Amino acid sequence: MRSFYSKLSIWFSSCFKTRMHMAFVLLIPILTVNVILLYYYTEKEKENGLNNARAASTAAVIDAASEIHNDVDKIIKEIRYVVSLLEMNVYVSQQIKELIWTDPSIHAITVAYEPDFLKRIKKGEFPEYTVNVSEGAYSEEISDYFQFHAWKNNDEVPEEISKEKDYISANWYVQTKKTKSEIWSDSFKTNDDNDLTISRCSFPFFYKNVFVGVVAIDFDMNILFSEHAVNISRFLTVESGTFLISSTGDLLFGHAQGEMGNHIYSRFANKNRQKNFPFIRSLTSGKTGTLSRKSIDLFPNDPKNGNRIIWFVYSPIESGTDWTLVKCFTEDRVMFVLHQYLFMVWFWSGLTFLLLSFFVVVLMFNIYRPIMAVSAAAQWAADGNLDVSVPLQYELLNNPMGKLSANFNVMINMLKKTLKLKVEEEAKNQLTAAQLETAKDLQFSLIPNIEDLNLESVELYTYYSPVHYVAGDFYDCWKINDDQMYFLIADVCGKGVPAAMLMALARMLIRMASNVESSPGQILEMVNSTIQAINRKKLFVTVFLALFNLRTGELQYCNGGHVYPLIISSKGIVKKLDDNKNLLVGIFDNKTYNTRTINLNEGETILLYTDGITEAASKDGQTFGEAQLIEHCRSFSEKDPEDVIAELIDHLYLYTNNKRQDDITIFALRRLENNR
Amino acid sequence: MQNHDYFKTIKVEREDSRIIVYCIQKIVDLENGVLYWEVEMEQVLEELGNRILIVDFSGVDILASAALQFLIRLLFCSKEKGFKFGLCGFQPNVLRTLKNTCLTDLLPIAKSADEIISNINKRNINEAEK
Repeated sequence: MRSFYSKLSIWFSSCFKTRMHMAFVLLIPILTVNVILLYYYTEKEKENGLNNARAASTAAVIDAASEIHNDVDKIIKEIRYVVSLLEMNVYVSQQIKELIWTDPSIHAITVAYEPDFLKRIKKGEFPEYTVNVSEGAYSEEISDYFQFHAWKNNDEVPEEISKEKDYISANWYVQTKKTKSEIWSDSFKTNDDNDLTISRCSFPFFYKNVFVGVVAIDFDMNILFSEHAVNISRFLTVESGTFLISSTGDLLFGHAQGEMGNHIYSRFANKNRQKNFPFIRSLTSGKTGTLSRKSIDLFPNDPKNGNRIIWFVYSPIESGTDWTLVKCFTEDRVMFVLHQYLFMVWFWSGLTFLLLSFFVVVLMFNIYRPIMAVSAAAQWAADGNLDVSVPLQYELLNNPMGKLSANFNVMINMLKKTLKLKVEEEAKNQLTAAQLETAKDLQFSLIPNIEDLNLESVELYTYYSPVHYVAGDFYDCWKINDDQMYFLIADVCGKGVPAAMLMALARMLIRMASNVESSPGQILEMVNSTIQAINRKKLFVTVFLALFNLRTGELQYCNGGHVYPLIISSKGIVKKLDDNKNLLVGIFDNKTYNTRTINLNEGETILLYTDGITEAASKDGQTFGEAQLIEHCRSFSEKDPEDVIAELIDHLYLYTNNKRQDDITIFALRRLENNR
Repeated sequence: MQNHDYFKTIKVEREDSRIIVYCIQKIVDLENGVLYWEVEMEQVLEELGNRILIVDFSGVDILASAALQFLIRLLFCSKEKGFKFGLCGFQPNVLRTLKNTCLTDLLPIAKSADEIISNINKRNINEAEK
């Protein structure tokens, strides 16, 4: 898998011919993704912005409609009180005037009496009823027509009594009399200098279930509406308008700002509004809602604003009126603020991208490219090609990436040198191994060939196995005449080459000393003195040296610190030859080495061995020991000695789990029986 | 002290630091173990000065010929530098090896560290009386 990534990395690197190429190839997808994301979020933000503006406008219009309703409702309740007073035949002029004075949106109040009722009074019906609005306002003579009118005029509220019959044909009177219920009549403009827009609400009043007349209240729509218009105009004051229209599309009040606001205002005020605003029915449906129209659909003669979208938010005002509050605004003005915000987003995104591009280019030059170069070189090196180096950019040598490249080259050079040294060392080791092999051959050549001795009365059995190439153990045997032979076993302290060298020296000295000395003890004394004189490293050797008479079986021996040999009888009885002890050889000067003599009977075997057998340790640190060795030796009388030794060695290998720690040497001499 | 796969040692100072008891806790018959032991002992000898060195072998199961060589060198070193030392705690098979080589006649061997200290004190008294 790692190799795959390395190859991919190299391929990726090779795709770019130049650093700028690499930078652009990497940046273009990032730029594309950025633009797509920005475009997506811009469109989403636009949609959200428009929805939010529409929702906020609707909430403002509903709130304003509710407040207007509350104001109107409050006045109507007061008028109903006046009506109830009239029905109780109480003077009401004062209440009416106070009402007009205290409430700025009430322009005038009219109390008009029904001529039929007046005639019945004349005839004497309802004698207790006084056609009085105010005390003394009505003369003693009852006329056929009577109307009381009070209105606001600057800082006073004048009143007027009229006995003309013109009111009985007025629409507001006729409709109220006819329906016997509250009636809102169409708004109208006053003809005086004030140019007020008035909306009139008429209330019938009765006496003993007889229709007496109508109380009409004139609302000054400018005052009633202006406060709330200001409130709802706080939102979207540019190019917008707030209008109060009746169910027939009459403009009761309007407040407009900006070119499009005034445009719409003029259309609402236009007598041909039905034609210009074909959707007017939707606005005056008595429901709350929003609708949008293109400017070109509403104002075909104004192509300049043709594609602008105009939104209408409307909500009816209850209180028995047929009024609808309409708020309109142009979509582009709403989006203007949003566009400003989005412009800033795009601007900063672009700037960020440019900065990012700059840093990417810098990264390409200073980091990515050197890493790719090092990576490719490392791959080459991993494939075994060490003749590789990373091209150095000298301008980058002082930054970490430059140092990485330089250090990589140093590392490769070091690796090459190390490999070269290793190869040389291997060659040297091979030479050493060859030399050791030669030394081993040489050492083995020092081991005597038993067959050359032509022994008839004894049989010899040997086993010799160095733990390294060369051993510190050795055995030797040589005849000095037809009847006598020397044999020995020795163990040099330590192992390996130093031990092998001392072994060769000791063997040579013993052989030489045997030519001039007559007993094993004297020989070892001579050898000890010779070695001790040159032994600065305090090496030593343990030796068991014996002079054996082949004819008589006499055995003279000297043990120089070696492990005790074993004597095994023909019946398998084993005993240690531990009656002779001397110091190990080669260390201490002027030491005496004693010689002992025994007789080796026919059929008896003397077994010499080194401590590599008895001190061979198992995995848990237990030594093989003398006892196990003796146990094996008992079978010398029953089995072929060669088999016994082979079994012993097998057992030893098994015991140590094939992990030997010392050289192993065995030398066994069996004196043959005569009748054999 | 050191703690190797081959061997482990503990150094204890006794009697106002007059005596260093150097306990070997593991077998030292392996070649590498002896080498480490030699290095460590050389350091101990450098720091020894006039103090008495006691090497406790009670944790040692096997003593190979290389270890014997080191004991011999220690003997020669003590004579050369004039410091006193003793060996103790040998297990029977290890002691047998020493007896085979007759090194028991030359090396200052005792059963325990206390015995060595007692012997040394007696010897000091005798020398003082003379």
